[in-house]
Amino acid sequence: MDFLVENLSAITWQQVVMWVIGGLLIWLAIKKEMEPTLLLPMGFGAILVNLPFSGAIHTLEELFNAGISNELFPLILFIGIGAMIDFSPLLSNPKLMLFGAAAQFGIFFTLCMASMFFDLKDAASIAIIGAADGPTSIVVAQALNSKYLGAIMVAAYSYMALVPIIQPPIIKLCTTKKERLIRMPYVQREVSQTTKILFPIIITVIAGIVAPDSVALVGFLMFGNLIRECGVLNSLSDTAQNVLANLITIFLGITISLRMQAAEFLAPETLLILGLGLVAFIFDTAGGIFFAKIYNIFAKTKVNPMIGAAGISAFPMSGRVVHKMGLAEDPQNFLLMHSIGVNVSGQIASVIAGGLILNFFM
Amino acid sequence: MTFNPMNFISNLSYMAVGMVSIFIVIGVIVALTMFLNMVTNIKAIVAEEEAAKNNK
Repeated sequence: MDFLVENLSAITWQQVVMWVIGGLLIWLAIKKEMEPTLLLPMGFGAILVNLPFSGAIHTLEELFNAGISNELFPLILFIGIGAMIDFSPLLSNPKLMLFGAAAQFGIFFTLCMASMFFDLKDAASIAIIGAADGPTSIVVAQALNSKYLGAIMVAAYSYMALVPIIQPPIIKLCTTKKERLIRMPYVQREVSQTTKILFPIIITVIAGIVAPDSVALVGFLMFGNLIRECGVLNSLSDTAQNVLANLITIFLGITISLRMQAAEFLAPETLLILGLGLVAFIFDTAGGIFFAKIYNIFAKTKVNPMIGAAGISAFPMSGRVVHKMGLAEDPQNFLLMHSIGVNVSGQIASVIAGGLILNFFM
Repeated sequence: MTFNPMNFISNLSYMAVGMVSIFIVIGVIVALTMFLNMVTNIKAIVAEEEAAKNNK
């Protein structure tokens, strides 16, 4: 009985708070279907590591060292993500990539904001929440040796899941009704197989030359895409998209929860990081929209500024949000192909932004 | 954790360099993709014309 009393008396209120947070993440994952593949393992892991004298911590530390410290898990996951992405809408209208670039504004704005409270490496790790891309956030935060990895991950994945709630009010605030009604007819342009094959190779080479530290991020993403597009590795593409991605996702979420131990996680900094993550998402969205407005000043064919918001990366939620908002304004305004194209470009731009951040601070 | 509002100003250079760099990189990618589309489309058109001639 003594051991039971000892264990019970070792429970701290901070651990109980973490159980509640873990329960909340599980609830959000199951009931609200918010990024369930990541939030559910993270929620369960938050409970697991905050049990008194938890024997799981040692195992999770081993997993952390095997897959997160060396950035292996997020990079392998990138192969799966690359295999899932169809770049065709982007390749048929390459100008859309510029909106993806503009929508990384939130990352750099948040870097400046976070630097008021944190040292530069931690500020950069927090800013990359604005990449709206979990693996990039993990790689950057880990490479910069941030001690706030747990909070950064919770913020990154929560806000990605909250894109349908966060973005619409900002889009409405930054655009007029007249702008939201701009129609964008979609002209289907044929994209050759050669272009689809050369595109990931070209991106990798360019990113590697400009930001060598990002070449792992970009390279793994584009390797996955090359497997998809080459046409002779359908079985590998299928495995990368499903089995590989699922396997890594299972371990990724629960392993990250190691950084959700009460002593580390329950700090004022965590709330601040959650706030700064929101700032990053807001300014990403606004950056994309205002760039589209500037583009319209010079362009012959106007674009609907809402598509700029899809450059936030969070794929494919952001593209769908913009499409739905377009339909809500005008049931005949189909923005999906444009918004998905911008959304995909945001994926590329966010990875390049991550590489630039690493170049600045490593 | 300390609050130093002046850091916002002093780190604005990262924002400027970062955004300019992203636009340059993406600009190069856009230009290359357009070039690639142009070249492969020309090849496709030539192939189609040749096929049409052969059919005649």
